[in-house]
Amino acid sequence: MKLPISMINDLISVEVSESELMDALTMLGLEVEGGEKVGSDFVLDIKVVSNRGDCLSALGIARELRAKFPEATASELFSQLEQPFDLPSADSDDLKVVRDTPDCDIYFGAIFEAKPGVPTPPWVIERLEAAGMRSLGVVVDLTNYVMLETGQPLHAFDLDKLRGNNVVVRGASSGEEIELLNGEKKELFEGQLMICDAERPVAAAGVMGGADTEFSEGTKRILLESAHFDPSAVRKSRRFMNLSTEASYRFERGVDRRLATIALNRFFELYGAATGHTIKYVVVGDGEAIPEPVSIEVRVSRATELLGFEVTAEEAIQTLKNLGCGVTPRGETLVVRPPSWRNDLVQQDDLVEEVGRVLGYDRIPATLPKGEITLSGLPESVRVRRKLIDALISVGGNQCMTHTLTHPSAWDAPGVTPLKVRQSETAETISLKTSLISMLAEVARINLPDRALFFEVGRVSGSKGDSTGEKWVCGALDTRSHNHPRNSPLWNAGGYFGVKAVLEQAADHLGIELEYRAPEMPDSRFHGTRQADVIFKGTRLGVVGELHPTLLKNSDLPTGTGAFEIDLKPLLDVGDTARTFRHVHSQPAVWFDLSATFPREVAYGTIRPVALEAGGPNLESMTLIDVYEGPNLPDGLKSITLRFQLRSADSTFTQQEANQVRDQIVAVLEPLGARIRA
Amino acid sequence: MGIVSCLVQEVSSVLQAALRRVEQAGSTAELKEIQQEFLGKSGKLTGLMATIGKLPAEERRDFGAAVNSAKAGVEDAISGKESQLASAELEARFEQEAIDLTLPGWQRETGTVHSLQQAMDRTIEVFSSLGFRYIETPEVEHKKYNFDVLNYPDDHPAKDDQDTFYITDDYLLRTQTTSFQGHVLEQVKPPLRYFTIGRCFRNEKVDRTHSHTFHQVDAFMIDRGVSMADLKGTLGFFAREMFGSDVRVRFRPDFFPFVEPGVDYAISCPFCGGAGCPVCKHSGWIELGGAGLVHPNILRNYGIDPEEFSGFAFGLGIERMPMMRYGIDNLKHFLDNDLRFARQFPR
Repeated sequence: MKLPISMINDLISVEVSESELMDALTMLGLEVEGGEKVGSDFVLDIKVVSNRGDCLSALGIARELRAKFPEATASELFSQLEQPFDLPSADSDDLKVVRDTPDCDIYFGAIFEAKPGVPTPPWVIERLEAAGMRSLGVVVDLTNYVMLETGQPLHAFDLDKLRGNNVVVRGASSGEEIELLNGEKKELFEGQLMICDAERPVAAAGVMGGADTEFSEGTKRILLESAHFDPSAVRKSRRFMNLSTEASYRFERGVDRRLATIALNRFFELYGAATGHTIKYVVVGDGEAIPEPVSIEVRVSRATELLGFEVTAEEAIQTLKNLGCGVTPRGETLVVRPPSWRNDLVQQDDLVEEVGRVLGYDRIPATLPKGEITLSGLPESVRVRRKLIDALISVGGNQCMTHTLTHPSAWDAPGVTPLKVRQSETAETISLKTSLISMLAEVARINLPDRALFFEVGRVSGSKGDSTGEKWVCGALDTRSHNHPRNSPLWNAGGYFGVKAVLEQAADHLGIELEYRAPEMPDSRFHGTRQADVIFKGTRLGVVGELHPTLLKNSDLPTGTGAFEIDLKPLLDVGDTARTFRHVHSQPAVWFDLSATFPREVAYGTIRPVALEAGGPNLESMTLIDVYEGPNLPDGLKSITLRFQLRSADSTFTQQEANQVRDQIVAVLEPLGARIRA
Repeated sequence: MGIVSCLVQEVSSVLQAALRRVEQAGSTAELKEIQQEFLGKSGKLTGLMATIGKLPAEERRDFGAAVNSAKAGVEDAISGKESQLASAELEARFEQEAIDLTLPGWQRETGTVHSLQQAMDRTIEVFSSLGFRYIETPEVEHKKYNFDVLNYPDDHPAKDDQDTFYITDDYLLRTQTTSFQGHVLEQVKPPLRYFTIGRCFRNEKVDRTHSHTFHQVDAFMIDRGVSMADLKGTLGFFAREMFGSDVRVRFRPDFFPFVEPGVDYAISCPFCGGAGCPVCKHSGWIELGGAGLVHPNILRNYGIDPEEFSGFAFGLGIERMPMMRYGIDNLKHFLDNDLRFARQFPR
């Protein structure tokens, strides 16, 4: 809210500089976001929080300052605007007001004759312009001015354009519509709070008037509306029309009911001064009795307990009184009646905040909480997830965090329907990511020509079958080129084996064993024969492999780029797998290589467990040295070289013992088609 | 001349010859030959020793001593010369093996920890040390946890402060990690201390300092006798751990439906100490987030008596930490994942 300081000075004189005033308001919770000199005036830009509708006026700001600076002098105008005002009641025969809805408890209309050719006083124009409002003729200007001064929105109708003799405040019927004074035509929802004449809606109550009953140059008789509308009804109405006005902004946040009459009186005072005549007006309409504020009991010690500094009874009483509350001490407690404009004060702690806020939060000391600590730090599953991140970084991974909101892409997880947001500022952010691979593909692309290992541990979501939800996954995408040093053509598919190594090393880090199987249902984003299901304890976690050459080409990514994406929940549920200590023996190790040919179709995954088992208890490690297929081998055969390292717990392993182990291994490999090479 | 003096003469001349040879030797290999020639099994000095048998008994001792002393003399000379030659040879080898010292080391590819991860890790350390337990709750959240249980009145302008991405009538992308409070309070009775870190979303136009996606840390504790002073102390501890030991905390009244009293908290600028600089826009203070005492309505809704228990809550943006620390001027870098950015803050 932009407010000229002159309007505050009309109400209260505080002997402080502009910058001190700005600081004081900010520290009261009315953040002054800016202040600038405009002509001879100084305009404050004040951010008013949503529960303080009462501060959307010069009067509200002056009240806050009076609480902070009790020594400041309030003006006569301030007292006038604080004082309840009774309108002269003189029902007009010309017009009847019917309040046909609980959403309007006060509706006054003042009927008077327009004085043609009266200009708006220059000082009013200056202040309105400083506040960011255009001058639109004296009547409209003064309604705006009164709103800025008191917080009460007013609306001027051209009375002669209203049809029939009734002004009805009611909910709209279905099918009704209105053309607003900004020229927009709006259909109304059933029950939308409207001001109507005998035939049709003429204003969206508390939001904006209609075009064809608008006050204009030629208007002779004016109906000036000053009413109180239910905040929530105004909010529904303006949201439906996708419109926000100075009036709706105030009504939504609550307008003091007492202002309906005070503001009308103030308008006629200013209009009279502008025209040089006392204005005669007739009042129509009425209002329900203004509800008495509910008394709140507050323990003075509660303030000290919650604020953490000593608040005396005198301080509490004085502060609350300065804020306009009625205060009656009763033993250890105070019985407090908030003023009619403070709809935000409803319980004890609200008053504690008021006392603290005005006394100043700089009085709060800093202490550390006492009391018991039950359980702190990370749960095991989060700790393991963090360990996985470390593992991937240690093998050269670059941790990424990609957007959740995205748009459909060819890289999306197949068979998963993304969740969509209903409205979005841009088309780039319409759905939630279903897969990390799709996001990492874009990351990899923007980083070209740099090629690297990218990974993310994050959440994805979507619907698959009956289940909808979000889950933690780990995805990686590797654009580096990998060449196996042996240059073995069977083992040289870098797109697959390079990224698989990353996954294997990460699994090692976590102390878990993953299995890799031919896919049950191939993932269309991957190479047709270079992808595997990743299995953990019998559960499929995801997929690892070389990405599909066509997709890669379309994304300008290098052929042979590999990727994996796995669900983390099954891993994290298991937690950090318990490992058991194995003795570190001091006996020397012996090793031997074993080269054998196998039929091409016998997978390493078949050979490995068999060989490992045959190796017996002294087999320390088995390493694949080479896989070969080529001219000096018969068709349909491949050669595999394995290195076995053996160590005995209690004695030096002899060559003879090693040969025995070798024979055992050969014996179990032969049934798989192995022929030992020289 | 007697035979003895003749032999002693010979020992002396062999010794002289050996020493000369040693002196003139040009390599350790040559020294090996000299050693063999004079001291080996059939070496010259060894051979002289063999003549001892020809001598009368009373002469043998002196002669033996003369030969042994000559052998020792040659050995000493050889080992002295050997170390001299060895170091010269090594020096020559080093000279030959000289390299361009300014060529880069063989670098192994290392990864990078995301800069937000680093801020999160630090945050986790600090809160864990204060006895807070970490928990995670959904990003796709029921509106109940994002708004209703946090004391947002139905259809209230407070909800406009946060433009929300809705997925369905009931589900939305959480606008604040404060949504974790309801989940905790459903499961845990006070005294309790919990915190969370996570991703939040607001339907906003994107610019340098606004993004529709960002990360927050949110913490709250409920116990007997918790006051605004405890909040100030905890925030001060956190801020000093994160931003430096001189940092002070300032509270300014603010409104959030889930706290009463509610404050906006700022820290004294760690860069200028509060004197005013471009980082703090010359105000001396940097606003970090919202805080306050847990609203009594929330306590009552979860069956906690506000007269027995009170609590505090606060939140702040994770991005602020690296932005302030490194002077990063645009939020987009965090989710772009450009290696040129990541490699500036690898660990």
